[in-house]
Amino acid sequence: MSDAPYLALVVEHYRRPRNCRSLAAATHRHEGANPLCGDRLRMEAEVRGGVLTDIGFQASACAIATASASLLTERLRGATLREVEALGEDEVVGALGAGVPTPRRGCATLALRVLRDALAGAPG
Amino acid sequence: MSQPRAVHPGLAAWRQLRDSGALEGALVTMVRADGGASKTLGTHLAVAADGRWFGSVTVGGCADGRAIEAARRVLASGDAERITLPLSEADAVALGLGCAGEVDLLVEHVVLGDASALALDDAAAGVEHGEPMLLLTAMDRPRGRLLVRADGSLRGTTRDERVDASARALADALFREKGSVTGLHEHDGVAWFVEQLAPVRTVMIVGATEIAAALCTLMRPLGWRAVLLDPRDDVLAQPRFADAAERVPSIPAEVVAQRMQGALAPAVVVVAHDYRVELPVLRAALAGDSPYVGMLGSRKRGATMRAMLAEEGVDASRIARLRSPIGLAIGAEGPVEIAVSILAELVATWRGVAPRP
Repeated sequence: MSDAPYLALVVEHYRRPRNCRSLAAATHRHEGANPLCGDRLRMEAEVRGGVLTDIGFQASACAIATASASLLTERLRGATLREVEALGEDEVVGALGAGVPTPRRGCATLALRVLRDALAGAPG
Repeated sequence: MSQPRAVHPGLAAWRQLRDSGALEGALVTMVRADGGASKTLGTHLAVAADGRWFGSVTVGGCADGRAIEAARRVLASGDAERITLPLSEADAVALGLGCAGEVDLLVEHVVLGDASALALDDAAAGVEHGEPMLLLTAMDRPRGRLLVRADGSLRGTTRDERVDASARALADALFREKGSVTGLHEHDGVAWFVEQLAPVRTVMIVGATEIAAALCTLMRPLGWRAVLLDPRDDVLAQPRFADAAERVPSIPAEVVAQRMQGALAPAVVVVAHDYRVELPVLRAALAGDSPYVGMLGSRKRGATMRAMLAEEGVDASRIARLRSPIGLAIGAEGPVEIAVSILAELVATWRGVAPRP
């Protein structure tokens, strides 16, 4: 087994994902996929007064994509939309730990991309 | 009557690309596999220039996404690539859910109608007739693909006469080897991927019944040829049997007797449930080299048939080959499920596997 630093955190969040749930009061919702690898993820957010008061996700995805979504929801709960806007992909990948293979960056950044698409849409 | 062609499983992706109307594509071929069991050398995945893809390089499709990305690169560049892919990423391995091993894939740009494509076309046609053939693909420059028949005739070229002649000599040597020769070979300093094309399997189905219709339909994706025999022209012509490769209105036992000799003798599946047909067909089938002779019916019917054959003097060892009741015991009900049980038994027979209860 590889001992790359990111793996322990990825496995932990894949086995016990945080905020993996539907939001009854979601104001924004979007579903996105990495079509070739088969990852599919739905992000939901409740935004009040420019703040993400709640955030959750549902996924049929690999461990990296799921763990990244899990970490992202932990980090962004209570964040402002401006803070979401400022969050960079490198930061999201780095949050998983060192050693995420370059070809898997698309997995690691899927949740952020889907969340941004959700927030860009009209509240519903 | 229309006669759909069976498709060799190894060439199905190519045929699908060609029949899709695409003018060019990238052909991915598994040329090396290390570890694990869900990999078959020579498996193809074909990606059309418009993005559609056909086939799969591994049984579970776990490497397909990355193979398709490589195919799109090759479609853009025109330059072939050989890539090595682990079948599992580190995260899957860390979870204990990874597939073992890695595969090497050759990814080539193919234009419909060019020499390489014509070699593939000929291969797809030739396997239906049971022709022993080797498909040789050059791994480096000069690029090219050649189909070599046992008589030495060639289709395709590397556009280098010396290399083509060397490929023919390699094929000649490989034809003399026993066992599978599919894999990477080096000859005169040129690396080749050689695919030994096994003939399409043929199943002779006796009796145009609803089970026969299901067998014909289910055999198409398996890449097997269904040859349907029945004395009744009008019944054989019904659309429900359109998936049969051949429909032969005949005295079934005569046709069975004509085709029962040699290594390519078909399997015989008797689903007529009609003693007028069964006894003569079984006589002919058991006298030949068929790898599988089965008859639909109860244990009692099977026992009666065996007793009648024994009374006629048919050798006991030949009678012992008769499978009746036919099919694996999976609790099948209805024509389609019975067809599934028969096909499962055929797979086990061809693979030399004793099914587990």
